[in-house]
Amino acid sequence: MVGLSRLAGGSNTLTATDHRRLRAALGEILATLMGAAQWSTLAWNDIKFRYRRTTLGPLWITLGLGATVFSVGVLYGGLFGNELSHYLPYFATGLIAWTFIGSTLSDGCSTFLGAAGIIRAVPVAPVVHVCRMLTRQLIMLAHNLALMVVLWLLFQWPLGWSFMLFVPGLVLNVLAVFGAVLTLSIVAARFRDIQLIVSTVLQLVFLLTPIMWEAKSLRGIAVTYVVDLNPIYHLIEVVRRPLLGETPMIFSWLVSTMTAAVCLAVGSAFYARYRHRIAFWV
Amino acid sequence: MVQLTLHNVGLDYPIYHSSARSIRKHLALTTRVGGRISSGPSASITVVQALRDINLDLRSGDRLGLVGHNGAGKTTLLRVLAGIYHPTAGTVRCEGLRMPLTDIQVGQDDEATGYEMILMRGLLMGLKRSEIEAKVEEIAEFSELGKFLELPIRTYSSGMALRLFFSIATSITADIILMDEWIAAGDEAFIKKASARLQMLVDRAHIIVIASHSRATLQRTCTRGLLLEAGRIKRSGTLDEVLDAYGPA
Repeated sequence: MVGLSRLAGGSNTLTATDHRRLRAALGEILATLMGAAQWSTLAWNDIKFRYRRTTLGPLWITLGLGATVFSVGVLYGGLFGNELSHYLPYFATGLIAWTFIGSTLSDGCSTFLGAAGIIRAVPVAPVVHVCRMLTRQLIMLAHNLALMVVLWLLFQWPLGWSFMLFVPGLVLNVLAVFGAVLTLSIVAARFRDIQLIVSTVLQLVFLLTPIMWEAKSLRGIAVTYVVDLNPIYHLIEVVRRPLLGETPMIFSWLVSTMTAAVCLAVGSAFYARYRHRIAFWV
Repeated sequence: MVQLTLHNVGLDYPIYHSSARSIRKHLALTTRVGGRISSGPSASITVVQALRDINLDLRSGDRLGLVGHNGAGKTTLLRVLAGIYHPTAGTVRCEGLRMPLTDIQVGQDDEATGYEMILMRGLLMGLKRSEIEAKVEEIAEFSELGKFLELPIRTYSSGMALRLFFSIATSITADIILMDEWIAAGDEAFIKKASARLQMLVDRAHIIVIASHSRATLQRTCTRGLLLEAGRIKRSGTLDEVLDAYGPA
Protein backbone atom coordinates (compact mmCIF):
# COMPACT_ATOMS: atom_id res chain seq x y z
CA MET A 1 0.00 0.00 0.00
CA VAL A 2 1.47 3.28 -1.10
CA GLY A 3 -0.23 5.23 1.67
CA LEU A 4 1.28 3.01 4.32
CA SER A 5 4.81 3.03 2.99
CA ARG A 6 4.65 6.78 2.85
CA LEU A 7 3.33 6.77 6.39
CA ALA A 8 6.46 4.89 7.35
CA GLY A 9 8.34 7.98 6.34
CA GLY A 10 10.59 7.84 3.32
CA SER A 11 13.33 5.31 2.75
CA ASN A 12 12.45 1.70 2.11
CA THR A 13 15.92 0.27 2.62
CA LEU A 14 16.69 -1.42 5.91
CA THR A 15 18.95 0.68 8.10
CA ALA A 16 20.76 -0.10 11.32
CA THR A 17 17.89 1.56 13.20
CA ASP A 18 15.42 -0.79 11.55
CA HIS A 19 17.46 -3.79 12.62
CA ARG A 20 17.68 -2.57 16.19
CA ARG A 21 13.97 -1.85 16.20
CA LEU A 22 13.15 -5.28 14.82
CA ARG A 23 15.34 -6.98 17.38
CA ALA A 24 13.66 -5.04 20.21
CA ALA A 25 10.20 -5.89 18.87
CA LEU A 26 11.01 -9.59 18.50
CA GLY A 27 12.43 -9.56 22.02
CA GLU A 28 9.18 -8.07 23.29
CA ILE A 29 7.10 -10.68 21.44
CA LEU A 30 9.25 -13.55 22.75
CA ALA A 31 9.15 -12.22 26.32
CA THR A 32 5.36 -11.97 26.07
CA LEU A 33 5.07 -15.52 24.75
CA MET A 34 7.19 -16.73 27.66
CA GLY A 35 4.85 -15.04 30.13
CA ALA A 36 1.93 -17.15 28.94
CA ALA A 37 0.39 -17.29 32.43
CA GLN A 38 -0.58 -13.63 32.11
CA TRP A 39 -2.52 -13.59 28.85
CA SER A 40 -3.85 -17.12 29.06
CA THR A 41 -5.41 -16.38 32.45
CA LEU A 42 -6.84 -13.12 31.16
CA ALA A 43 -8.28 -14.89 28.10
CA TRP A 44 -9.71 -17.73 30.14
CA ASN A 45 -11.40 -15.25 32.47
CA ASP A 46 -12.78 -13.27 29.51
CA ILE A 47 -14.58 -16.40 28.34
CA LYS A 48 -15.68 -17.26 31.86
CA PHE A 49 -17.16 -13.80 32.48
CA ARG A 50 -18.77 -13.46 29.08
CA TYR A 51 -20.76 -16.65 29.50
CA ARG A 52 -21.10 -16.52 33.28
CA ARG A 53 -24.87 -16.43 33.52
CA THR A 54 -25.57 -18.85 30.69
CA THR A 55 -26.17 -22.55 31.17
CA LEU A 56 -24.13 -23.85 28.22
CA GLY A 57 -21.65 -21.00 27.82
CA PRO A 58 -19.52 -21.13 24.68
CA LEU A 59 -21.14 -24.44 23.80
CA TRP A 60 -24.03 -22.34 22.48
CA ILE A 61 -21.71 -21.30 19.67
CA THR A 62 -20.92 -24.97 19.08
CA LEU A 63 -24.62 -25.79 19.02
CA GLY A 64 -25.19 -23.01 16.50
CA LEU A 65 -22.40 -24.43 14.39
CA GLY A 66 -23.91 -27.90 14.75
CA ALA A 67 -27.31 -26.61 13.64
CA THR A 68 -25.68 -25.04 10.56
CA VAL A 69 -23.83 -28.24 9.75
CA PHE A 70 -26.91 -30.41 10.01
CA SER A 71 -29.43 -28.13 8.30
CA VAL A 72 -27.29 -26.53 5.60
CA GLY A 73 -25.23 -29.71 5.34
CA VAL A 74 -28.23 -31.91 4.58
CA LEU A 75 -29.52 -29.37 2.05
CA TYR A 76 -26.24 -28.82 0.22
CA GLY A 77 -25.31 -32.47 0.47
CA GLY A 78 -28.51 -33.18 -1.43
CA LEU A 79 -27.82 -30.30 -3.81
CA PHE A 80 -24.37 -31.59 -4.70
CA GLY A 81 -25.60 -35.18 -4.70
CA ASN A 82 -23.19 -36.24 -1.96
CA GLU A 83 -23.45 -39.00 0.60
CA LEU A 84 -24.26 -37.40 3.97
CA SER A 85 -21.77 -39.65 5.73
CA HIS A 86 -19.11 -38.10 3.52
CA TYR A 87 -20.42 -34.55 3.16
CA LEU A 88 -21.40 -33.70 6.75
CA PRO A 89 -17.96 -34.45 8.29
CA TYR A 90 -16.32 -32.63 5.38
CA PHE A 91 -18.49 -29.54 5.78
CA ALA A 92 -18.18 -29.57 9.60
CA THR A 93 -14.36 -29.80 9.67
CA GLY A 94 -14.06 -27.08 7.06
CA LEU A 95 -16.52 -24.83 8.86
CA ILE A 96 -14.76 -25.30 12.21
CA ALA A 97 -11.35 -24.51 10.72
CA TRP A 98 -12.80 -21.53 8.87
CA THR A 99 -14.61 -20.21 11.95
CA PHE A 100 -11.29 -20.13 13.79
CA ILE A 101 -9.47 -18.29 10.99
CA GLY A 102 -12.34 -15.96 10.12
CA SER A 103 -13.35 -14.91 13.61
CA THR A 104 -9.72 -14.44 14.64
CA LEU A 105 -9.08 -12.15 11.69
CA SER A 106 -12.26 -10.16 12.28
CA ASP A 107 -11.65 -9.92 16.04
CA GLY A 108 -8.07 -9.02 15.25
CA CYS A 109 -9.23 -5.74 13.73
CA SER A 110 -10.70 -4.61 17.04
CA THR A 111 -7.98 -5.98 19.33
CA PHE A 112 -6.29 -2.66 20.11
CA LEU A 113 -9.43 -0.58 19.73
CA GLY A 114 -11.14 -2.78 22.30
CA ALA A 115 -8.22 -2.47 24.71
CA ALA A 116 -7.87 1.30 24.22
CA GLY A 117 -8.47 2.09 27.89
CA ILE A 118 -5.80 -0.32 29.06
CA ILE A 119 -3.33 0.79 26.38
CA ARG A 120 -3.57 4.40 27.55
CA ALA A 121 -3.38 3.57 31.24
CA VAL A 122 -1.00 0.67 31.79
CA PRO A 123 2.43 0.11 30.20
CA VAL A 124 1.70 -3.34 28.74
CA ALA A 125 3.29 -4.67 25.54
CA PRO A 126 0.58 -4.42 22.83
CA VAL A 127 1.24 -8.01 21.75
CA VAL A 128 -0.24 -9.13 25.07
CA HIS A 129 -3.66 -8.05 23.78
CA VAL A 130 -3.10 -10.06 20.60
CA CYS A 131 -2.17 -13.18 22.57
CA ARG A 132 -5.18 -12.68 24.83
CA MET A 133 -7.54 -12.49 21.86
CA LEU A 134 -5.94 -15.44 20.08
CA THR A 135 -6.22 -17.57 23.21
CA ARG A 136 -9.92 -16.72 23.47
CA GLN A 137 -10.37 -17.94 19.89
CA LEU A 138 -8.46 -21.15 20.64
CA ILE A 139 -10.74 -21.82 23.60
CA MET A 140 -13.75 -21.37 21.31
CA LEU A 141 -12.13 -23.71 18.76
CA ALA A 142 -11.71 -26.37 21.44
CA HIS A 143 -15.42 -26.14 22.18
CA ASN A 144 -16.31 -26.39 18.51
CA LEU A 145 -14.23 -29.54 18.14
CA ALA A 146 -16.77 -31.23 20.41
CA LEU A 147 -19.00 -31.22 17.34
CA MET A 148 -16.49 -33.48 15.59
CA VAL A 149 -16.81 -36.04 18.36
CA VAL A 150 -20.58 -36.13 17.87
CA LEU A 151 -20.20 -36.47 14.11
CA TRP A 152 -17.61 -39.21 14.40
CA LEU A 153 -19.88 -41.18 16.73
CA LEU A 154 -22.61 -40.85 14.09
CA PHE A 155 -20.59 -41.72 10.99
CA GLN A 156 -17.44 -43.41 12.35
CA TRP A 157 -15.15 -42.75 9.41
CA PRO A 158 -11.77 -44.54 9.71
CA LEU A 159 -9.20 -42.56 11.69
CA GLY A 160 -5.56 -43.66 11.49
CA TRP A 161 -2.40 -42.14 12.84
CA SER A 162 -2.60 -39.46 10.17
CA PHE A 163 -5.16 -37.95 12.54
CA MET A 164 -2.21 -36.65 14.58
CA LEU A 165 -1.22 -34.41 11.64
CA PHE A 166 -4.03 -32.21 12.90
CA VAL A 167 -1.56 -30.85 15.49
CA PRO A 168 1.09 -29.44 13.11
CA GLY A 169 -1.75 -28.24 10.88
CA LEU A 170 -3.25 -26.28 13.75
CA VAL A 171 0.17 -24.91 14.71
CA LEU A 172 0.62 -23.54 11.16
CA ASN A 173 -2.84 -21.98 11.37
CA VAL A 174 -2.08 -20.34 14.71
CA LEU A 175 1.25 -18.96 13.45
CA ALA A 176 -0.35 -17.61 10.29
CA VAL A 177 -3.24 -15.86 12.03
CA PHE A 178 -0.93 -14.56 14.77
CA GLY A 179 1.19 -12.82 12.13
CA ALA A 180 -1.85 -11.64 10.20
CA VAL A 181 -3.50 -10.26 13.33
CA LEU A 182 -0.33 -8.40 14.34
CA THR A 183 -0.57 -6.55 11.03
CA LEU A 184 -4.35 -6.18 10.92
CA SER A 185 -4.74 -4.94 14.48
CA ILE A 186 -2.18 -2.19 13.90
CA VAL A 187 -3.53 -1.10 10.52
CA ALA A 188 -7.11 -1.23 11.83
CA ALA A 189 -6.19 1.00 14.76
CA ARG A 190 -4.85 3.59 12.34
CA PHE A 191 -7.47 3.29 9.59
CA ARG A 192 -10.97 2.67 10.85
CA ASP A 193 -12.14 1.41 7.45
CA ILE A 194 -10.10 -1.77 7.75
CA GLN A 195 -12.50 -3.47 10.14
CA LEU A 196 -15.38 -3.00 7.67
CA ILE A 197 -13.29 -4.01 4.67
CA VAL A 198 -12.10 -7.17 6.41
CA SER A 199 -15.59 -8.30 7.38
CA THR A 200 -16.75 -7.87 3.78
CA VAL A 201 -13.71 -9.64 2.37
CA LEU A 202 -14.14 -12.52 4.84
CA GLN A 203 -17.69 -13.16 3.60
CA LEU A 204 -16.36 -13.31 0.07
CA VAL A 205 -13.48 -15.62 1.04
CA PHE A 206 -15.92 -17.96 2.79
CA LEU A 207 -17.87 -18.38 -0.44
CA LEU A 208 -14.78 -18.64 -2.67
CA THR A 209 -13.00 -21.21 -0.49
CA PRO A 210 -13.93 -24.89 -0.65
CA ILE A 211 -15.78 -25.14 2.66
CA MET A 212 -19.35 -25.77 1.59
CA TRP A 213 -18.26 -27.19 -1.75
CA GLU A 214 -15.37 -29.46 -2.62
CA ALA A 215 -12.26 -28.53 -4.56
CA LYS A 216 -12.48 -31.69 -6.65
CA SER A 217 -15.75 -30.52 -8.21
CA LEU A 218 -13.70 -27.74 -9.82
CA ARG A 219 -11.04 -29.98 -11.39
CA GLY A 220 -10.81 -29.68 -15.12
CA ILE A 221 -12.25 -26.21 -15.07
CA ALA A 222 -9.92 -23.30 -15.85
CA VAL A 223 -10.66 -21.46 -12.60
CA THR A 224 -8.93 -23.98 -10.32
CA TYR A 225 -6.32 -21.35 -9.53
CA VAL A 226 -8.98 -19.68 -7.35
CA VAL A 227 -8.51 -22.68 -5.08
CA ASP A 228 -4.86 -23.54 -5.66
CA LEU A 229 -3.61 -20.02 -4.95
CA ASN A 230 -5.93 -19.44 -1.98
CA PRO A 231 -3.77 -19.72 1.17
CA ILE A 232 -6.86 -19.98 3.37
CA TYR A 233 -7.88 -23.12 1.46
CA HIS A 234 -4.56 -24.76 2.23
CA LEU A 235 -4.64 -23.67 5.87
CA ILE A 236 -8.07 -25.28 6.18
CA GLU A 237 -6.84 -28.39 4.36
CA VAL A 238 -4.00 -29.11 6.78
CA VAL A 239 -6.51 -29.15 9.64
CA ARG A 240 -9.47 -30.68 7.83
CA ARG A 241 -7.83 -33.65 6.10
CA PRO A 242 -6.26 -35.13 9.25
CA LEU A 243 -9.59 -34.82 11.08
CA LEU A 244 -11.20 -36.76 8.22
CA GLY A 245 -8.55 -39.46 8.53
CA GLU A 246 -6.77 -38.40 5.35
CA THR A 247 -3.33 -36.97 4.66
CA PRO A 248 -3.16 -33.40 3.31
CA MET A 249 -1.37 -32.81 0.01
CA ILE A 250 2.30 -31.85 0.24
CA PHE A 251 1.40 -28.71 -1.69
CA SER A 252 -1.01 -27.67 1.09
CA TRP A 253 1.74 -28.08 3.68
CA LEU A 254 4.07 -26.01 1.53
CA VAL A 255 1.61 -23.18 0.99
CA SER A 256 0.55 -23.19 4.65
CA THR A 257 4.14 -23.03 5.84
CA MET A 258 4.93 -20.22 3.45
CA THR A 259 1.77 -18.34 4.45
CA ALA A 260 2.70 -18.65 8.11
CA ALA A 261 6.25 -17.46 7.40
CA VAL A 262 5.13 -14.48 5.34
CA CYS A 263 2.43 -13.48 7.84
CA LEU A 264 4.90 -13.68 10.72
CA ALA A 265 7.53 -11.68 8.85
CA VAL A 266 5.11 -8.94 7.83
CA GLY A 267 3.50 -8.92 11.28
CA SER A 268 6.86 -8.55 13.04
CA ALA A 269 7.88 -5.76 10.68
CA PHE A 270 4.66 -3.86 11.34
CA TYR A 271 4.96 -4.48 15.05
CA ALA A 272 8.53 -3.23 15.11
CA ARG A 273 7.67 -0.14 13.13
CA TYR A 274 4.39 0.95 14.63
CA ARG A 275 3.92 -0.55 18.08
CA HIS A 276 4.83 2.72 19.78
CA ARG A 277 2.24 4.60 17.73
CA ILE A 278 -0.66 2.39 18.79
CA ALA A 279 -1.31 4.40 21.97
CA PHE A 280 -1.89 7.51 19.84
CA TRP A 281 -4.18 5.78 17.37
CA VAL A 282 -6.65 3.99 19.63
CA MET B 1 19.98 2.79 41.34
CA VAL B 2 16.56 4.21 40.58
CA GLN B 3 16.65 6.91 37.97
CA LEU B 4 14.38 8.41 35.32
CA THR B 5 15.95 10.69 32.74
CA LEU B 6 14.35 12.56 29.84
CA HIS B 7 16.68 14.02 27.26
CA ASN B 8 15.29 16.54 24.73
CA VAL B 9 11.97 14.74 24.71
CA GLY B 10 9.38 15.86 22.23
CA LEU B 11 6.04 14.31 21.47
CA ASP B 12 3.84 14.97 18.46
CA TYR B 13 0.35 13.71 18.86
CA PRO B 14 -1.57 13.02 15.66
CA ILE B 15 -5.27 13.88 15.69
CA TYR B 16 -7.42 12.41 12.97
CA HIS B 17 -10.59 14.10 11.90
CA SER B 18 -13.37 11.69 11.17
CA SER B 19 -12.83 12.41 7.49
CA ALA B 20 -9.04 12.46 7.60
CA ARG B 21 -9.02 9.10 9.31
CA SER B 22 -10.40 7.11 6.41
CA ILE B 23 -8.06 5.35 4.03
CA ARG B 24 -9.92 6.95 1.13
CA LYS B 25 -8.20 10.26 1.84
CA HIS B 26 -4.82 8.57 1.80
CA LEU B 27 -5.44 6.78 -1.45
CA ALA B 28 -6.85 9.91 -3.06
CA LEU B 29 -3.79 11.88 -2.04
CA THR B 30 -1.29 9.34 -3.30
CA THR B 31 -2.92 9.02 -6.67
CA ARG B 32 -2.63 12.74 -7.27
CA VAL B 33 0.26 13.63 -9.57
CA GLY B 34 2.20 16.83 -9.32
CA GLY B 35 3.53 19.09 -6.69
CA ARG B 36 0.66 19.04 -4.21
CA ILE B 37 1.71 15.92 -2.33
CA SER B 38 4.03 17.90 -0.10
CA SER B 39 0.95 19.33 1.54
CA GLY B 40 -0.03 15.65 1.89
CA PRO B 41 -0.98 13.98 5.11
CA SER B 42 -0.26 16.97 7.30
CA ALA B 43 -3.14 18.80 5.67
CA SER B 44 -5.64 16.18 6.77
CA ILE B 45 -3.96 15.21 10.01
CA THR B 46 -3.64 17.76 12.74
CA VAL B 47 -0.46 17.26 14.66
CA VAL B 48 -0.52 18.51 18.22
CA GLN B 49 2.91 19.27 19.56
CA ALA B 50 2.13 17.96 23.01
CA LEU B 51 5.66 18.13 24.42
CA ARG B 52 8.76 20.00 23.30
CA ASP B 53 12.36 19.95 24.53
CA ILE B 54 11.68 18.32 27.86
CA ASN B 55 14.82 17.67 29.87
CA LEU B 56 14.37 16.09 33.23
CA ASP B 57 16.64 14.13 35.55
CA LEU B 58 14.89 12.35 38.40
CA ARG B 59 16.89 10.46 40.97
CA SER B 60 16.17 8.53 44.10
CA GLY B 61 14.57 10.84 46.64
CA ASP B 62 13.07 13.26 44.14
CA ARG B 63 9.47 14.35 44.67
CA LEU B 64 8.32 16.30 41.65
CA GLY B 65 5.14 18.32 41.37
CA LEU B 66 3.81 19.09 37.87
CA VAL B 67 1.80 22.24 37.47
CA GLY B 68 0.28 23.98 34.49
CA HIS B 69 -3.05 24.95 32.98
CA ASN B 70 -5.41 22.39 31.48
CA GLY B 71 -3.87 21.04 28.31
CA ALA B 72 -0.35 22.16 29.21
CA GLY B 73 0.92 18.59 28.79
CA LYS B 74 0.95 17.30 32.36
CA THR B 75 -0.91 14.05 31.69
CA THR B 76 1.01 13.46 28.47
CA LEU B 77 4.29 13.92 30.33
CA LEU B 78 3.10 11.50 33.03
CA ARG B 79 2.32 8.94 30.33
CA VAL B 80 5.77 9.40 28.82
CA LEU B 81 7.31 8.97 32.26
CA ALA B 82 5.24 5.83 32.77
CA GLY B 83 6.36 4.32 29.46
CA ILE B 84 2.85 4.39 27.99
CA TYR B 85 3.65 6.98 25.34
CA HIS B 86 6.93 6.75 23.48
CA PRO B 87 8.34 10.15 22.57
CA THR B 88 8.68 11.08 18.92
CA ALA B 89 11.94 12.88 19.67
CA GLY B 90 14.63 12.52 22.31
CA THR B 91 15.24 9.65 24.71
CA VAL B 92 13.82 8.30 27.94
CA ARG B 93 15.99 6.25 30.26
CA CYS B 94 14.48 4.47 33.19
CA GLU B 95 15.90 2.26 35.87
CA GLY B 96 13.42 0.93 38.38
CA LEU B 97 9.83 -0.32 38.45
CA ARG B 98 7.34 2.33 37.36
CA MET B 99 3.75 2.36 38.53
CA PRO B 100 1.24 4.79 37.06
CA LEU B 101 -1.58 5.40 39.55
CA THR B 102 -3.71 7.19 36.99
CA ASP B 103 -6.78 5.42 35.61
CA ILE B 104 -6.83 2.82 38.36
CA GLN B 105 -10.24 1.41 37.37
CA VAL B 106 -9.21 0.46 33.85
CA GLY B 107 -9.78 -3.18 32.92
CA GLN B 108 -12.91 -3.45 35.06
CA ASP B 109 -15.16 -6.34 34.08
CA ASP B 110 -18.60 -6.09 35.65
CA GLU B 111 -19.16 -9.83 35.54
CA ALA B 112 -15.99 -10.60 37.50
CA THR B 113 -16.20 -11.05 41.24
CA GLY B 114 -14.08 -8.84 43.46
CA TYR B 115 -11.58 -11.64 44.00
CA GLU B 116 -11.35 -12.36 40.26
CA MET B 117 -10.89 -8.66 39.57
CA ILE B 118 -7.94 -8.56 41.97
CA LEU B 119 -6.30 -11.32 39.92
CA MET B 120 -7.12 -9.73 36.55
CA ARG B 121 -5.98 -6.26 37.56
CA GLY B 122 -2.82 -7.65 39.13
CA LEU B 123 -1.96 -9.57 35.95
CA LEU B 124 -2.45 -6.40 33.90
CA MET B 125 -0.05 -4.58 36.20
CA GLY B 126 2.49 -7.26 35.37
CA LEU B 127 2.39 -9.25 38.59
CA LYS B 128 2.74 -13.00 38.69
CA ARG B 129 -0.18 -15.07 39.87
CA SER B 130 1.69 -16.13 43.01
CA GLU B 131 2.55 -12.53 43.83
CA ILE B 132 -1.09 -11.56 43.54
CA GLU B 133 -2.26 -14.48 45.64
CA ALA B 134 0.13 -13.38 48.37
CA LYS B 135 -1.53 -9.97 48.44
CA VAL B 136 -5.19 -10.98 48.16
CA GLU B 137 -5.81 -11.23 51.91
CA GLU B 138 -4.38 -7.81 52.55
CA ILE B 139 -6.26 -6.18 49.66
CA ALA B 140 -9.52 -7.79 50.78
CA GLU B 141 -9.05 -6.65 54.33
CA PHE B 142 -8.15 -3.09 53.41
CA SER B 143 -11.09 -2.69 51.02
CA GLU B 144 -13.50 -3.73 53.85
CA LEU B 145 -15.74 -5.27 51.19
CA GLY B 146 -15.95 -8.61 53.03
CA LYS B 147 -18.44 -11.03 51.51
CA PHE B 148 -19.07 -8.69 48.60
CA LEU B 149 -15.72 -9.75 47.12
CA GLU B 150 -17.38 -13.03 46.17
CA LEU B 151 -20.08 -11.19 44.20
CA PRO B 152 -19.78 -9.71 40.71
CA ILE B 153 -18.68 -6.09 40.48
CA ARG B 154 -21.93 -5.06 38.82
CA THR B 155 -23.57 -5.43 42.24
CA TYR B 156 -21.19 -2.85 43.74
CA SER B 157 -21.96 0.82 44.15
CA SER B 158 -19.46 3.07 42.36
CA GLY B 159 -17.93 3.91 45.74
CA MET B 160 -17.43 0.22 46.54
CA ALA B 161 -15.85 -0.45 43.15
CA LEU B 162 -13.50 2.48 43.65
CA ARG B 163 -12.54 1.12 47.09
CA LEU B 164 -11.63 -2.19 45.50
CA PHE B 165 -9.54 -0.67 42.70
CA PHE B 166 -7.86 1.72 45.08
CA SER B 167 -6.93 -1.17 47.35
CA ILE B 168 -5.51 -3.15 44.44
CA ALA B 169 -3.56 -0.25 42.96
CA THR B 170 -2.00 0.74 46.26
CA SER B 171 -1.02 -2.80 47.24
CA ILE B 172 2.06 -2.78 45.04
CA THR B 173 5.30 -1.18 46.05
CA ALA B 174 7.04 0.46 43.11
CA ASP B 175 10.26 2.41 42.77
CA ILE B 176 8.65 5.19 40.76
CA ILE B 177 5.08 6.33 41.30
CA LEU B 178 3.24 8.57 38.88
CA MET B 179 -0.04 10.23 39.83
CA ASP B 180 -2.53 12.48 38.13
CA GLU B 181 -4.01 14.22 41.18
CA TRP B 182 -3.91 12.58 44.57
CA ILE B 183 -6.17 9.57 44.29
CA ALA B 184 -8.88 9.10 46.88
CA ALA B 185 -11.74 6.71 47.42
CA GLY B 186 -14.74 5.98 49.55
CA ASP B 187 -16.64 7.65 52.34
CA GLU B 188 -15.22 9.96 54.95
CA ALA B 189 -13.69 7.29 57.17
CA PHE B 190 -12.23 5.41 54.21
CA ILE B 191 -10.76 8.54 52.63
CA LYS B 192 -8.64 9.09 55.74
CA LYS B 193 -7.49 5.51 55.81
CA ALA B 194 -6.85 5.52 52.06
CA SER B 195 -4.85 8.71 52.21
CA ALA B 196 -2.64 7.26 54.94
CA ARG B 197 -2.06 4.14 52.86
CA LEU B 198 -1.18 6.13 49.78
CA GLN B 199 1.12 8.32 51.85
CA MET B 200 2.95 5.20 53.02
CA LEU B 201 3.35 4.04 49.45
CA VAL B 202 4.60 7.47 48.45
CA ASP B 203 7.06 7.56 51.33
CA ARG B 204 8.48 4.19 50.39
CA ALA B 205 8.90 4.96 46.66
CA HIS B 206 12.18 6.35 45.38
CA ILE B 207 10.71 8.81 42.91
CA ILE B 208 7.29 10.47 42.94
CA VAL B 209 5.76 12.61 40.22
CA ILE B 210 2.36 14.17 40.88
CA ALA B 211 0.42 16.42 38.55
CA SER B 212 -2.01 18.46 40.57
CA HIS B 213 -4.00 21.66 40.69
CA SER B 214 -4.05 21.50 44.49
CA ARG B 215 -1.25 23.47 46.10
CA ALA B 216 -1.91 21.72 49.40
CA THR B 217 -1.31 18.31 47.83
CA LEU B 218 1.88 19.43 46.14
CA GLN B 219 3.24 21.21 49.20
CA ARG B 220 2.57 18.18 51.36
CA THR B 221 4.51 15.80 49.13
CA CYS B 222 6.81 17.52 46.68
CA THR B 223 10.12 19.29 46.93
CA ARG B 224 10.78 19.94 43.26
CA GLY B 225 8.45 21.58 40.80
CA LEU B 226 7.99 21.82 37.06
CA LEU B 227 5.74 24.33 35.32
CA LEU B 228 4.53 23.32 31.87
CA GLU B 229 3.07 25.69 29.35
CA ALA B 230 1.95 24.59 25.91
CA GLY B 231 4.13 21.48 26.14
CA ARG B 232 7.32 23.26 27.13
CA ILE B 233 9.04 23.63 30.46
CA LYS B 234 8.40 27.20 31.55
CA ARG B 235 9.99 26.94 34.94
CA SER B 236 11.87 24.26 36.79
CA GLY B 237 13.21 24.44 40.33
CA THR B 238 12.09 24.05 43.91
CA LEU B 239 8.36 23.64 44.36
CA ASP B 240 7.98 27.10 45.93
CA GLU B 241 9.76 28.84 43.06
CA VAL B 242 7.63 27.03 40.52
CA LEU B 243 4.38 27.70 42.36
CA ASP B 244 5.30 31.39 42.54
CA ALA B 245 5.99 31.43 38.81
CA TYR B 246 2.66 29.71 38.18
CA GLY B 247 0.74 32.46 39.92
CA PRO B 248 -0.08 33.79 43.32
CA ALA B 249 -1.90 31.41 45.64
